[in-house]
Amino acid sequence: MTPAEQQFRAELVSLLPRLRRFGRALTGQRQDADDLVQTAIERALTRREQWEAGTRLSSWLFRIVQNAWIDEVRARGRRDRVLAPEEAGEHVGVSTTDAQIDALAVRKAMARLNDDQRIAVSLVLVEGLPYKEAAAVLDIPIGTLTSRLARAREQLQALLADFGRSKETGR
Amino acid sequence: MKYSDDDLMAYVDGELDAESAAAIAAALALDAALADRVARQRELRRAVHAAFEPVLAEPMPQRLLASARGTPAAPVRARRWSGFEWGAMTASLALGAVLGAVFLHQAQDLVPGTGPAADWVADETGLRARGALALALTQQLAATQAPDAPVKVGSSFVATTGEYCRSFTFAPTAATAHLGGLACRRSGAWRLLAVAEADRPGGAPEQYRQAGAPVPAPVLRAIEDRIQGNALDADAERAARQRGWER
Repeated sequence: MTPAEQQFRAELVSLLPRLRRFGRALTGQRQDADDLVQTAIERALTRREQWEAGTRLSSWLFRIVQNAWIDEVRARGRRDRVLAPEEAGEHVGVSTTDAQIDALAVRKAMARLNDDQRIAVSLVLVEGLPYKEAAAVLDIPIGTLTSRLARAREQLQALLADFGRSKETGR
Repeated sequence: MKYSDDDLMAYVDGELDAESAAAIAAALALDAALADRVARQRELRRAVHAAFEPVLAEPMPQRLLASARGTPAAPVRARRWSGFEWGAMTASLALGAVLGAVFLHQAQDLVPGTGPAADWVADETGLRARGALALALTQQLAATQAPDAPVKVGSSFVATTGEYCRSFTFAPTAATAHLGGLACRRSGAWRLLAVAEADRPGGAPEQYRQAGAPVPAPVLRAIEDRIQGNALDADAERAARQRGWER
């Protein structure tokens, strides 16, 4: 292994937690997210030469993850993707503090967004990328990014208000 | 002045220029309805971020680590570093150029407790600072630290992921190079996100060597990848210490 490759791998390792979080926001599922990150790691290592040193490795990796996700969605067709997230997972049956209910509601609402909107929200709100960088990751104009973000936020507000109402009426 | 939802979204996302942001901030005080709209946007941003934040603290699946590191997925037999003195981490630098990225790569092979106290230890989520390094990260302020402190804290900042991070360097010794790194506060511990050697001191002019430990380039890149806004100033650093580096 060359020193350059070792350095690249070390930086990749340090970014894995964020890639997993991004994957989780996109897929809503732990297993799917980790499969996605695995695919992205392999692609990143194969295409290491294409990464321009001096540019942000994180952005380059986000782009790979999101491309892998789009490929995956296309391959599967749209019938069975992004289900309600992790409902059989760790958040059921444990203490239901407000923070956890909140988080579960947000993840459910995220799963109902369309792919473009969910990707935009994942980059800007979950990963905290500036608009300019998120637009570069997606290779779209900033105006397109912000309009996706705006529509996504309206949707999320509406969905979360809806969940809140159904909780109050005990539905 | 009327503000669109797009304006408020950009305001909450920190995307407005200083002048426009200041205008909205001033308008908020006078307009309860506007303040309410901004509060709703802020709360949504906070809730979405918080919903996925716990993923960062989850143990990293071995298969992902193995792929990224290029090591076999099967557990690696612990390597005993018995030939070396681990009395101080800097002593290990006598090994020369093998540290830095290579050290990160091999850190999985270090078993806690197999040697005398080191300044970091590997666990299932990566590297965790301990000993003198952990103490310095928690206690030392850049403004007041002793010039000859064995560990020097560089800049402190809030990461895009929301936690506090601090860069650090170890004082070089006669036989060794500068070593620097970046640590971020997660779940009550300092996680090392980058550790690397600076360029060999022999290559740098004398005055730069005297000036203090340079931050290695990979560590600078790691900082740039994560920093949100500017580094903390002395007051903000002190305030962060008072909060135990928890946000």
